[in-house]
Amino acid sequence: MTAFQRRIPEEEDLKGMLARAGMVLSPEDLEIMETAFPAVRAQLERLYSYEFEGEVYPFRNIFPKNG
Amino acid sequence: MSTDALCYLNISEAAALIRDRKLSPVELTKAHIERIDRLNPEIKAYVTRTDEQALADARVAESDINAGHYRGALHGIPVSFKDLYDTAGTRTTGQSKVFADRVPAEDSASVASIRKAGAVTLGKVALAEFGLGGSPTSLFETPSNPWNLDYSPGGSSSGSGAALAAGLCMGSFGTDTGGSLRNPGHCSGIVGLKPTLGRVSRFGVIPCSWSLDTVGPMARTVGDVALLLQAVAGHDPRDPSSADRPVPDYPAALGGSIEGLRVGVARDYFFRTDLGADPEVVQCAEEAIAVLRELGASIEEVSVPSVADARSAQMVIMHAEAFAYHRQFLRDRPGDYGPVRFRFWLGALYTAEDYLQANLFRRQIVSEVDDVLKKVDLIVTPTMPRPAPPGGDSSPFGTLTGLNFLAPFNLTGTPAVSVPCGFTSGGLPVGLQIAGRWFDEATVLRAANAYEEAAPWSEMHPDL
Repeated sequence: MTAFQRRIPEEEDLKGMLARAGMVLSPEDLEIMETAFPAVRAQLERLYSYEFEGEVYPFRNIFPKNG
Repeated sequence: MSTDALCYLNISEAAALIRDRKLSPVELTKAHIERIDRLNPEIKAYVTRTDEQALADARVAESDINAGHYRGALHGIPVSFKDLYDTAGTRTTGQSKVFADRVPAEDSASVASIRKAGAVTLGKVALAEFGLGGSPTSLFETPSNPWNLDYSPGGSSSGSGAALAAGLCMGSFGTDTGGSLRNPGHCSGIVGLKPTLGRVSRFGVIPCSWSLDTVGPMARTVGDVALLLQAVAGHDPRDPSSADRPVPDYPAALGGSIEGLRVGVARDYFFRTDLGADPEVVQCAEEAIAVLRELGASIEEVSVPSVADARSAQMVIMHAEAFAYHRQFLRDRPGDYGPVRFRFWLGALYTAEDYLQANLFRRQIVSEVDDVLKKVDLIVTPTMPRPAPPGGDSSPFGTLTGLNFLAPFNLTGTPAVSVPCGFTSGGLPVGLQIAGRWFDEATVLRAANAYEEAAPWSEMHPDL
């Protein structure tokens, strides 16, 4: 199992994920949200195609004073 | 001078006249108010007008100048602010019903700096809801593109772009989380500068994404953007991202030659018509690069290997952070949001791991761009792959996939400007994006200014 397969949510999780975040959507809004799922999956698959090695602190160099 | 001519003066031109007492700030402000009266019903750039305060401020400016207390190039100059910037005593809504009645007690840092410089605030201008949504919004109308009213002026700083192109202010301030200063620069044919993250204080600006939000100036010329940047750049301990770095003299940096400047062009991504970039947009950018070469710049091929995935990382970070800010409002008052709520809800779908993975990617692209900027001084691209989109209701999620030329420089935090570089055959403006090293806005602006002087697209105005 690749990293992204393990981590990327399935479409059927959508309602539960939103509910766990405290969001209650109408059936119509939920239907619209479902249309974004393929693009969200694709984005995450691209991001998890990268294997980052070495130092793993992710925020270095983001704000100049942290650089 | 006619009202139209007054309203299309550059800041530097108007400033010289005001300084020499050949132009009254009151006359200049009245000219803008009259023009806003006439054109705003169609352009819809202003969402809150402060005519009385503007005239009062203009009278004070005139009185001060007549008394010999001229403050500098922005004294008496009419400007506007995106309706994310807190303005003491004047509502700041984010163009959302959620904040419809929100009246800040204190000015944001940029508003305070601009007031201190003596500029006259004409009002608050439109935006995509909370700087993230498309069209429609839950409060106020969506602006039209002055070059063609059927098209969008770009966003999310849409009102700033539309107001400048229509001659409804001389300078404006917007924000850029995923391209929102440069996108309207491209779509509306004006100049939009995203400064280095940390260069300009974000204090008092409603956030969209804490680690990506950047505030900055927009105007019709590069020189005017330099004047506006000068007034707001600098350290502010009230903003944790603010950098304590010296601020150079930006207007003074514009005059130099670009002979020998090394300009990087990444044709393996930013010029790919086979991936969906519009051939006319690419052609305009190629012609602009030829002008830079004629001006003495050295054009070099470069590559940012992971650039194609920058938008994915930027969206994960932006949506996750935006959701965190809006979570309580979304839970309690979802009906007060327009379609932007769908974009915020995307942030609930990401895990902590996703957010960290996106930030690890961010570190990687920071490193890649740093490597490129050790070999060249600047990276030049078309600002966007395509010209302004048609107006009207947009997709609830915007563009989640496809080419994106703006997001890479949000992730890196490096400065980037959009300067007009031509028009499509359909009459829509096209922008050239010039990105540079951290805190080197001076070189970015110098190159943009040299190009603008050689190819004065900024002298063209829409027929309104």
